[in-house]
Amino acid sequence: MTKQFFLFLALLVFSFSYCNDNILIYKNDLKEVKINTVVIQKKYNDKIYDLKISVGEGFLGKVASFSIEVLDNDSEFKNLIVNNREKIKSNLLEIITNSNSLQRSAIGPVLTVGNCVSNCTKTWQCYDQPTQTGTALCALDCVLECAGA
Amino acid sequence: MKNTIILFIIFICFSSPTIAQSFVIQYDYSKHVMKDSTRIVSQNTFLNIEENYSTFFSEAPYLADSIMTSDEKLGKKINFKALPADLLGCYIRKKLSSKEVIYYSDEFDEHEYKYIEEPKFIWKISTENKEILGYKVYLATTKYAGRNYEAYFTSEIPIQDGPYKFFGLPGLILEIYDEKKDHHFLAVGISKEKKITIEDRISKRKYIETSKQKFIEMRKNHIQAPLKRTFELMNSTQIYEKKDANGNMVDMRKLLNEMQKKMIEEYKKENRIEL
Repeated sequence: MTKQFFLFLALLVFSFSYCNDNILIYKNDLKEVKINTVVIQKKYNDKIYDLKISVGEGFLGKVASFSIEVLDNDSEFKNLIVNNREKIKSNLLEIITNSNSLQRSAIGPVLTVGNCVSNCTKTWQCYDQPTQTGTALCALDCVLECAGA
Repeated sequence: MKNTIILFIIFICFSSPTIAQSFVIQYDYSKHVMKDSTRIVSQNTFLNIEENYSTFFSEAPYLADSIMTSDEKLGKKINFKALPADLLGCYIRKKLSSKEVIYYSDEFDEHEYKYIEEPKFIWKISTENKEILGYKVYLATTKYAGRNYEAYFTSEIPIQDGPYKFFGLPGLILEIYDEKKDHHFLAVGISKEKKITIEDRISKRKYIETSKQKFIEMRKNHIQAPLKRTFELMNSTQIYEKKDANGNMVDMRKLLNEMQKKMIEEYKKENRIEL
């Protein structure tokens, strides 16, 4: 009984995703912060189609997903997209890669010399040493450490 | 998730006052690595909201502590140069009931400082809106410390708080950036579970209380001669040479001079949030 129920549920989900007008072309693992939608017009076989393009945006404006919806309920054009999904995806990936790398190349935080010395002297409590010589030795060790000598 | 948070907020609003209101907003903080640079660095930052106050901090000090503890346990030499840098260089505590912001510095060697500020944010709220984390957010603008900011807040979370020192909108600030996009905070998660805290650092350290004006002046002096105190120590103890890790003798006067020069250059190019 439980198995049948889950089978039914799976079929239901599958049928919904299959029937969905929104054709998902691309989706990556980035967390979607927002979805931008735009309706564009595309001419094909002398007919103009309205297409709703949804682009999922991840942090720093990176593309997280891309889907197309044919608003005219025209199955011919929809099938054309579905049949060429891989081609569209491959073109899209090229654009996304360029756009993501151009838009913002986020890198990890860099440690400045000042940060390094400060971290080091605090960790070894250089300024809490009982003597001035102890403090000096400790602080100078940190300078050596952060200079990479 | 959104409904859970709203239910949670409603619950804490109407529940007994003895139940502490506590949750965390995680923001991605990104900034241009240096003035006039196109390179961007980013870091996780957290706004821990408690019943009477909130604390805003970067994950870097917490990560640095974890790495150092792990290295010590494994008997490894701590590689200070490889530790994550704190992009904020401070912790911010807000007591919204008194509109008070306490700034705790975390960037100097010998002493750290704290100052109390009561920033008067004048917000202009517009009808422009969008969605962040599933919440409808509205645009508001303000000016602070030499920069013009655009913020997006949600009235669905009725807490007048936000990242860094920002507060005072009729809802939580989920995104804020300056017009040059030199500094950008974007909420990426809201949770009831407090994964990291900075309370220990704040309570265990001794902060010298000062005013904002004096702090700015003191920092200005510091960046002109960041190793002044180390030079004084070297001269008073006359330790002018020291062996490095490879056993080579190093001229400390030369090294300190080179290092200070490098630090001054870094400070000249730094992209400070407050101008």
